[in-house]
Amino acid sequence: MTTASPEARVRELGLRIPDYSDPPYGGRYGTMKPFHRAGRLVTLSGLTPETRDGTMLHPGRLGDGPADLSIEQGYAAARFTATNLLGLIRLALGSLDEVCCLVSTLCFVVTTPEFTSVNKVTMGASDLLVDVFGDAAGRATSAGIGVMSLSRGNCYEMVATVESRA
Amino acid sequence: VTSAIKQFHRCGRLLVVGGQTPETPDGTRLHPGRLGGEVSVEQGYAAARLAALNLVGVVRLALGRLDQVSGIVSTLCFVATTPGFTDLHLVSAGAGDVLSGVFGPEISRATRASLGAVSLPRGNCFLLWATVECRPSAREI
Repeated sequence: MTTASPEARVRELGLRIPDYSDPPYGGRYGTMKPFHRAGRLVTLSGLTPETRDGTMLHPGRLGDGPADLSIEQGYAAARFTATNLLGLIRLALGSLDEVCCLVSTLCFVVTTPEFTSVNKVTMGASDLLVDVFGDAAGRATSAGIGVMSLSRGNCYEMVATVESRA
Repeated sequence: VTSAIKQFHRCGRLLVVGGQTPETPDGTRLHPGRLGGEVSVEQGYAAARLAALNLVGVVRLALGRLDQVSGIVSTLCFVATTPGFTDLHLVSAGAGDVLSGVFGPEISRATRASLGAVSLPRGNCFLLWATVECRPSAREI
């Protein structure tokens, strides 16, 4: 396992992390704030697989039908959402290197009733977080929930809490 | 399949526990399916009990002793349901009853919400997400 800092890992992996300072987070969705800090716990607001200009990656529903999204597409959407989470963490703490560890990720996936591989989709996010923060700090407590719909037709949304170093 | 996740996280007196499902350690599921479909309220209640027992196991793993729990902060109960099913609280009661039996009525009383999900990991019918408060450790007193 690498000992490189999270910011160095981001450069190694060539990740493109969005800047949430401008335009402000949440403008398309309503009145909200991007994060809340209480002591060392930082709660990050909901994130979806969208670019800053609102282009969605793989909108739709996970399922087994021909028109449904595949697990691979859902995994990619979850991974993309986690890179957005990195942007929100940077906004909150200034640098990813200020993260002591991940606390929790609650992951919502739009699915058909028959779909049972919610956890294989959410792994897209958890794998990326371990890639960036390492095996010890990057693991979060987690749950994946299949839901009927998400804002604007996105297939994935996650809320996360991280612990800061100071 | 192993995921890059952990079972619990402690920060100060708060213990956050990852999602618990009605599965035995070998992955055998109790009453997979959906409430309002093939799973009855009684079966859902039993599944919620097992998920809560698993939560108790993780708390013991995290704190060493269940006596270190000073309160249950919150429980989010996700139930896989058909669109018409409305008795979610009767299912979630299975989790609340286990916590009450283990920790007593005062400590176990938690903030709670129950939500109907379209699907849950591995086809489980119930998932419990909880945060627990621990007694202050020596270094925090």
